[in-house]
Amino acid sequence: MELVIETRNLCKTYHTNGVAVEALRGVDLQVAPAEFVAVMGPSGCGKSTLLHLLGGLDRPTEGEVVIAGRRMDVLNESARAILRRQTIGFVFQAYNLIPNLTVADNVDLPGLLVRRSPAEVEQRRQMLLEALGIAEKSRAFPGELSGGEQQRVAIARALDNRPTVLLVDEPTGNLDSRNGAEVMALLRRTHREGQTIVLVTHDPKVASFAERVIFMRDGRLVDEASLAAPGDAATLLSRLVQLEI
Amino acid sequence: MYAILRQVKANVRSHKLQSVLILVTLFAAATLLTLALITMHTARGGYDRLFRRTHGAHLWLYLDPERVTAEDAQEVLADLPGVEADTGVMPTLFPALYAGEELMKSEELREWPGEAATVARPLLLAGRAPEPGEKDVVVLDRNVAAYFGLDVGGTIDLWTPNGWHSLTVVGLQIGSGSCPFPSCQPGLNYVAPGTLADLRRMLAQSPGVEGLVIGWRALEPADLKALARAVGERLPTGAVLAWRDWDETRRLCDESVLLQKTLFAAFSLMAGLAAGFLIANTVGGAVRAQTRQIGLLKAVGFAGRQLAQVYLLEYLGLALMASLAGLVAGSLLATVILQPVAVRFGDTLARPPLWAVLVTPLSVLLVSALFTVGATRRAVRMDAVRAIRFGAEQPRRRAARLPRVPLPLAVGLSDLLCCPLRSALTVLGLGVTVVTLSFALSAVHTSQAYANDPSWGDLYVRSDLPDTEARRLIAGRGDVTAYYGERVEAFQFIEDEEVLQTRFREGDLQAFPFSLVEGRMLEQPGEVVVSYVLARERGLSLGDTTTVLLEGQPFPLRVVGIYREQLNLGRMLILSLDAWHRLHPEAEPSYYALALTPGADARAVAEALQVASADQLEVKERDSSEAMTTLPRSMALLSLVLGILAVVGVFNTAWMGVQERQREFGLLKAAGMTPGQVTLSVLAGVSGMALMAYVAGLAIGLPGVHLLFDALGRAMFYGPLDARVDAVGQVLLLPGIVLLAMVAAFLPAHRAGRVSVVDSLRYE
Repeated sequence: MELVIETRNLCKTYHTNGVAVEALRGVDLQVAPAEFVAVMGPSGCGKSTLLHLLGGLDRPTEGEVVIAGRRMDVLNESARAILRRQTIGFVFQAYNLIPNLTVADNVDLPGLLVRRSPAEVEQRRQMLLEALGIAEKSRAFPGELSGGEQQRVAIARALDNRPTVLLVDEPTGNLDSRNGAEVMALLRRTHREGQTIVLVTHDPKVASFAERVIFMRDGRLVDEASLAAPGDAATLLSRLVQLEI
Repeated sequence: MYAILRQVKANVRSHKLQSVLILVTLFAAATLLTLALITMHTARGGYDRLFRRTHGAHLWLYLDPERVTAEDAQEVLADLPGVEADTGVMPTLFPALYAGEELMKSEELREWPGEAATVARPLLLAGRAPEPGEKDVVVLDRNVAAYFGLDVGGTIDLWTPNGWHSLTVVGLQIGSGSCPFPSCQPGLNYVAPGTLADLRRMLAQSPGVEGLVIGWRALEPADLKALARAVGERLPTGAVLAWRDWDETRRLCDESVLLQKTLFAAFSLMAGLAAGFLIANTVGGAVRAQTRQIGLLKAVGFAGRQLAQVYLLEYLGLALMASLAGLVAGSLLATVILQPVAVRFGDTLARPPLWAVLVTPLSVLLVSALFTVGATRRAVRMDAVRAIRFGAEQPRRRAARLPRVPLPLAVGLSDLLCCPLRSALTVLGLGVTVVTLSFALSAVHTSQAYANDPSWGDLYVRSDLPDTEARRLIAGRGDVTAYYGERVEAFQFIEDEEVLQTRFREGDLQAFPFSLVEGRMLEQPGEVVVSYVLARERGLSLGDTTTVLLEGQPFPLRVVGIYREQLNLGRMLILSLDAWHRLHPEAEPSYYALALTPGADARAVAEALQVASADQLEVKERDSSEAMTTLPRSMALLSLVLGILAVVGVFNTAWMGVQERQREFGLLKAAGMTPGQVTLSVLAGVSGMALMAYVAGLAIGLPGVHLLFDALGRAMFYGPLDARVDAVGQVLLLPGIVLLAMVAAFLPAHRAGRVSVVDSLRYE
């Protein structure tokens, strides 16, 4: 079976004020198509760095990143951007919608970047917004929406180009529990429709929506667990305690 | 206060680049403002300064030595009431002087008055004064020398009945007796004390070259009528040849630089506007960019007033430094740009007046303070939590739909529309540049069109040959399609003592495109074409009849045309040579204007005519006046300065925009935009602003040019001028201004493209 994501000996070192900080130290990761993988770990363990490297937002210091069969780490910034727009969707903790664009324009952005026709872009947007329950907000601006609504828009934008992989970074970090649960339910539904998802979180409850959970500490993958049933947060908690994460 | 000072210091240290940008912007604005103020000062006060420096005479009188001797005049004009001092009665000559082979326009020669002179002493600008009794030397009027390309060490030639006599130029001077040559003629030049009599003897057989002159410095300069009346009562009838008073000379001086003055005034206005928009945009944007910091300072206990003090101190400190540097730079620049105007009045440099030294820093400080307080108040009023959370990227209520154009273009344009104040200020700043450039192009185009007066034809010939011989040579050239002859003589309007000049013309007049305001050129004797100024002064219209005196003989004439005249302050007539023939049947033209076949080599024809006439014909190609030839250079320099200001303005706007939108660029790149597309989106935004500035600039500039030139033409004697719009130039202005904006924004745009997605999202 061809993997959707594969990393080999992935390393990333940041240099801040002359001090080298090793954020990732030889990460080997494989993600199969239609898999829902959560990456857990404490703050500063390298979760977000891993997500950025998977999405081609940054380049590794060492190692390889293969996305949908293509080496991401050897591409220049422009080529990474093109690959990203074709294969990857991002959902961030802080929604990161563009404030001076309407909901409709934010969602249309990836479609316009791959030069789909305006009619096709509009059709896809309407479908996504309806599916996410925010169709009536299409003319609103991000500043006029609640946090939960903004995160739904962010998910719609991430799904616009039917990405091979959806990369999700702490999707409920800025939401109250009700909105957080709704967003996770949406992600689960998306996954059930065949979407590959890699989600980064430190919240066992959020991670429990995944099929497989990978644990990180100090820039390394230290363990992983397959969840028999979604929402099995208790198993995750006990594993975290065992790993002293 | 200590906390405020510490914060100011920290701000300047932590925002070094921003501080430098503000400094550069304010410096450019202060430079322009200084330049504008010195321009006004140089153009307006030139004559007054010269008058003070030379201790000028308020009233000049020219006397006919055949009616009164110098000794008698001196005696009867002694002890006049209301006189502070006088020059004494001085002999003067009006000989035919040549610079090389070129006849200098009627020049006046007097004896150098020496150190003892208390009134109207000439101001020596270069070389030396002549020694008493020193033969064959001359101190030329600086403007005469410049016009004929002469300098100290050169020579001029005096034509006497016995042949040529050379005079060596030992110095250059300027006086306050008349407005600068060639606007006013003759130019006044000096020979050594005690040598004028020798020259006069050489010219003994030449009529009308000798005169007497005296100047008075009055106790009541505003009222010279009583003095003139007293002088008139003491002199024999007919002894007075001409009067000249300082007020009229000052008016003529003012009018002689009217073109520069008007253009520089328009430029000053534009520069002031551009500087205002720039300061508003830069300071406002800089405070806005620190919204998060303002929120943090409020959170740690800074009151609104203290915050205002922090930013006022920071920006007023920068404004003070920038304005002082701008004052120096503007002064230095003025010496280059305005030197041609300054030297006409004997000033070596265009210096800033004291009030300009005060006005520049105060204006820059005031505008900076105004916009700092405004921007800080807006930021201080903001909820601290929101300010800390969102910083300059406040959730925007006003947004635009993404235009359905290529995405980088759409993103750039949408940003343009969602920050209307910043965009508007930048557009206004650029618009001012467009107005100025559009104006400069039209000004140069129009001035060249009128300066190259087509009524002079392609060649202008001064003849020492008999008329029949000159005509034979001219008509013998196959490439001469038409010509007319001209001579200039004096005339007076009936019941008016003022002596004016009129042109007498004869030939293929209909073949030349005369610059007529209305009516037509002469067709038959008994007709007159009146200059615009004389028509206005005398209330003459087409169809009116007027009577002029030629050598005392009345000639009734019918006005058939009104034309634009550039000489003699625009106060001339054009009559048929037949009228002069009635007094002098043998009189012949002194000059000929020639029209050549299209494509003919004017220089080759000129040389051929000179050779054929054995140099008895002096042939010149059509040339432009000094003011018109220096205009393109001045306009280019002024446009360059405003262009630099526009570049600084666009750079600042783009830079601040990129700083504020770092996160947005990160998001766009995360969504799949390439660095090149992000760069392009920023360039698209500034190009959109340049496009708007172009439209707005032309909408204001083109009608403005027409109005200005119409008024300028009327004020400068020529009569109403139709501004000539350089269509190609105006069209090329669009890519020019877009390119300028893109060049100015390139670095910020490139930086936007290089924004690290990870860094921009790190602090989410």
